[in-house]
Amino acid sequence: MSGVNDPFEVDLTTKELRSTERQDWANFSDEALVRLAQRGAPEAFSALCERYLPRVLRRLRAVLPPEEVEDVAQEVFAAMIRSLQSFRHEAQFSTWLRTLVNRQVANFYRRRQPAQVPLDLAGFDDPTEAGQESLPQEFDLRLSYSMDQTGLDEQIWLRQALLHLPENYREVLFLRFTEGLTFEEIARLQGRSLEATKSLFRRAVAALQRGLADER
Amino acid sequence: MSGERSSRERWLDEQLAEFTDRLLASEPGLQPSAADPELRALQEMVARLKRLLADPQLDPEAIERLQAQILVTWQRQHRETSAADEPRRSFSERLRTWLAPAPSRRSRWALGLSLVAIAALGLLLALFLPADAPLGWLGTATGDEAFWPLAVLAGLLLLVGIIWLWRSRS
Repeated sequence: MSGVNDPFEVDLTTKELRSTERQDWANFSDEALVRLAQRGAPEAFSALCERYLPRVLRRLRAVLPPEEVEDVAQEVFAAMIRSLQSFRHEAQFSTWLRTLVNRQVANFYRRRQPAQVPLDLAGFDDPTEAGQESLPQEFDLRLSYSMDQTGLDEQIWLRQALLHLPENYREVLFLRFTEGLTFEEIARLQGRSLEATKSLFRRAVAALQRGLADER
Repeated sequence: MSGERSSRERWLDEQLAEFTDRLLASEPGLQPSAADPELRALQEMVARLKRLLADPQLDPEAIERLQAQILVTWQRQHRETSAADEPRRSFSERLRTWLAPAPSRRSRWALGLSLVAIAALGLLLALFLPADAPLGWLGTATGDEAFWPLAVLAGLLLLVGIIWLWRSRS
């Protein structure tokens, strides 16, 4: 995001912030919006929400049963609201939010399948978070749909295969397909070369293909 | 052999990335059609991923509803945090604040008018009440029942005036 109209560059007063047009908030950087939201500006929080809610929903839809997506999205944003004051801008906001999404997905499957839990969700947890319970090694997503294997459609098979992918593979696919980042943007975000990013993407697609073949 | 393999992998990386970019840009009529079977299989997988992850439209009403609920949560949390952050003030601090000069000309006038109204109400009560009922007990110590109620009222008016002047100073 560009720094156009960034309140930390032009030091807007509260009155000026209130008179900022709705469309102008879209020009603020994530960092500026987060800082303003931390100071209590509802418009800034609203703009953040507008920017990230669709991305969060897309990502959740890729790995959750459709009827659970809205509830988990609310949990993600509730967790974000609780932690927003302690966000110190050491990481990018988008990266931090992705971590929250992954954690809520892991929590969802933990709640859902406390005993059976044969599913690989390791990448959905934040490894830096102290005190997190260890995650299940495997998980059968079909159980969460309460369907016979014969009734599972392509989408469910794909979701299951996605959940079984190693975290770096799954992440590059989500960034390209659900968040619409270009390969250049993914490379910058992950600190890789463009060539390495494209290679990771191709290997992720191939792994998914193999995973689907194995499961069928 | 390994160099050859590596160059083939690089070619596959580039071809698949290019196909993905074109597919996600919704290039019309684009289908997995590579002559190379490995690349074609990868292209088919990318097309399936697009159908699952990128194609389905989000329901704008659901987004709006969710956003409203999230904003309510944020406002509630923000109110609670603000209330918790505000330090508890002692009675003397609150009294000092109340006695502090009013912040604006408008609020000074509002305060002055309120105090004048209270004083006028007190004066009217004193004038129209029966002489033996309300403030009469003040006069019992001296026996002069007419003097004390007036003295109390005058004191009250003086106090009101002092407070008003104090709050009016800029």
